[in-house]
Amino acid sequence: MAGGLESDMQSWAAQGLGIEAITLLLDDPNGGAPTTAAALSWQQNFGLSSVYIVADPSFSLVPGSSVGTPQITIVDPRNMQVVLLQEGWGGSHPPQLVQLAQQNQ
Amino acid sequence: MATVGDKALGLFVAVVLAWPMLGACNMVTGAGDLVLVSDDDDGTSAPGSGGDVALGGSGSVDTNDGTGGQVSQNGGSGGTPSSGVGAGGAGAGPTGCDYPAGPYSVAQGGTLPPTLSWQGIAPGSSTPTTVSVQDFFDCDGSKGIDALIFDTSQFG
Repeated sequence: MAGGLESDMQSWAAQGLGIEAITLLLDDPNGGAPTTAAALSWQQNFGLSSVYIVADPSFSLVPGSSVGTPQITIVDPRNMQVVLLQEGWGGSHPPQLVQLAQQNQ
Repeated sequence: MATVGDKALGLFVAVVLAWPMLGACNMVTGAGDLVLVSDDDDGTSAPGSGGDVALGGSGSVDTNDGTGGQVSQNGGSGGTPSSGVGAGGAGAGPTGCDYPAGPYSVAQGGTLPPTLSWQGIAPGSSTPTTVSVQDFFDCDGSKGIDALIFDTSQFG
């Protein structure tokens, strides 16, 4: 997912869609606790220049006690409600993301 | 034997000695210059100060939304939003709305708690900063944010 995120961000921006992406890292490259250094490494590895990348040692967006990654959480910025929660990557971003952005324009 | 003159002199000396102590008390606490403002709904709370995220099997996130107060000094700016977000533009400025009220949850259909914040990298930057979920709240579209996607991932 991360590999195609930057190109998707560019595409969404070209369509005039104000989509913000935030990557929450659960670990570092060595399997330890995530750090800002790990976030920087992730940014460089995947060439992400339009995405926030943060360390999330608290698994703060994981509602249960376990998670299948990547976990996608789509949120409406008008009311901060979770519109979609999806575990696993199906090869493309859920269509609800663009639909939400279009509705909010 | 003490005389009235002696007592008057003693009182004068006591006042002279005590005067700096009265001032010092305020100097130590600084309380005379502090204004405490408790407002956790306007996006100005210090990151990480507003409560704890408790993970558990219930699928909910408990937040302490009664804290997150702001401390500012008299004569200053009155406190400014503590967003560390810069280059990406998401923290471009406060909107005219308060952050949605609880209850909060990170499950589908829930409202993200305003206390969520992380250390990380903003777009176009390599400098660590604090990113708050409140930076992305855009009730009226004035920040130009139409949708948010959070990608919880791991290296392994």
